Amino acid sequence: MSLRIIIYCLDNILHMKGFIISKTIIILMLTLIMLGAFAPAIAGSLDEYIKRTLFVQTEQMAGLINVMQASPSGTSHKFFLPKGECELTVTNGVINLTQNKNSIVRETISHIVVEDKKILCIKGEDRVFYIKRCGDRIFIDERERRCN
Amino acid sequence: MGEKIMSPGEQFAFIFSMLITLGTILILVSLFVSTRPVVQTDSLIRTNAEIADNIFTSNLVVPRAVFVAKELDGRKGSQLEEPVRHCGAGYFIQVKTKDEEWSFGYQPEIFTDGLSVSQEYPAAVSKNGIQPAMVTLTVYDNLFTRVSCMAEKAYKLGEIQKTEIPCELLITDKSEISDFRDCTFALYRKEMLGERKFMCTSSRQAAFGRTMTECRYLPDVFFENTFLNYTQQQNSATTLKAYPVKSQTSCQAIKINPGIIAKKGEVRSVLFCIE
Repeated sequence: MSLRIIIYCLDNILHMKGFIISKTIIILMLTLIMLGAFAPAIAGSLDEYIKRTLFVQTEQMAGLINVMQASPSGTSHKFFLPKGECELTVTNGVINLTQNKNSIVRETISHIVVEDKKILCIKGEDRVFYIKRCGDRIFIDERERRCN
Repeated sequence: MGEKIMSPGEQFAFIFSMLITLGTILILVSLFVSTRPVVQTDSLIRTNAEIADNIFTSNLVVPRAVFVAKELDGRKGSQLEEPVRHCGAGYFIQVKTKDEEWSFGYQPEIFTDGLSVSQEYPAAVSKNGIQPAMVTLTVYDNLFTRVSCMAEKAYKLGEIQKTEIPCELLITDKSEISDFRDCTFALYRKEMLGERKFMCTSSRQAAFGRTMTECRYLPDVFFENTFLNYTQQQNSATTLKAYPVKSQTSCQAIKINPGIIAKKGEVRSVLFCIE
C-alpha cells in the first residue's frame, strides 16, 4: 500500500502533475528536515525553559524567606513547588532546588535563623510547603506549624 | 498514468507558488531562530528592598525604621555588614538627618565594575527626640562579593564552590606586548575592630600607581590566605575553586590526596585554588 503511494507521489512529482499533492509533499519533507535540523535547538530551548522556571522559583523562595525574616512571629506563606520530580534543600540559609538534573542555588539574608530542611516532590503530585516564622526562627514544613 | 504533462504556464505557476511557500517558511524559521527570550528578575533591586526591610526590623531600630543613634555610632565609618548580611551581595548604608550622617558597610574600591543598585528609604533617628532621616542603601554584586560568598558557602555547606575569574588584577604591563597576561589574585584575612574578621584583597594597578585594598566583613568563616599567580590568555577566564578542607593544606596536596577535602561538619578551613 505504502509503496503504491510512494510510486504515485513520485509519478506526480516527476511529471509535474498533481499540483497540490506534489507541493504538499515537498513542504512536508522540508518541514521534517528543518525539524530534524533544529531538534537540538528546540531541546536546548526546552532545557533553558526548565532552568529559567527553576531559577525564578528559587529566587521567589529566597525572596519569601528574606521577607519572612522581617515579618512578625506567626507569619506564614504557602508555596507550591514545580510539578514533577524535584528536590528542595535549605542548608544554612542556602536554597538548592533541583529538577531534571538542573540545580539552582540562591542565598538568603542572614538575619534570623532559617532551619535546615529537605523536601522531595513526586511526579504527578502537587507538593505544597509552608514557610513560617515562629519566634526568632524560620521553619519550612510540609504542614503548617503551630508556633508555641 | 497516461495523463498530460503540465503546460508551461502551469509549471511556472507551480514553481512560483513553491517559491512563495519556501520564502514564507524561511522567513518564519529565521524569525524563530533569531528570537532570544531574556528573563530579567531585577533581583538586585529586590535584594535591596529585602535588606532594607530587615535592617528596619533589626536591633539597630526601635521601633521599625527608627534608628537608635547609639547603635549607629558604634558602626559609623566601619565596613561591618551586621546584624543583617547577604552572602552574595554586599551593601553600604548611609543614614542622614539634618545635622548628622552615619554610614557603614561594604564599598568596592577595586571591583567597581560590578552591578550596583541604590535606593532611598524614609526613616528616623532617635537622638534627642525623633529626627526624620533618609536612608540610602546601595547593594553591590561583583566578583569580590561572589568570591567571599564562595568561601562562606564552602565553609558552611562543605561543598566545593567555583567561579570564572577574569584577569582583573594586573601587576605588570606585559599585557600591552603579549597575548598572555600575568595576573594575581590575593585573598587574605584581616582583623579589624577587635576580633572581627574580614576578607581582603589588594591590587597594584599601574594606572593608579598605588596599591588598593578592598575588604568585606566575613564573620565565622576561616580560609587560608591565598596569593594566586597565574597566566591568562586575553579575553579568557580562569576557574577559581574554593575547597572546604579538614586541615591546613595546599592546592597541590589536594590534587594528590582528595581525601583532604572536607564534607559538612568536617570543615576547618577553605582553600582557594586556580584550575
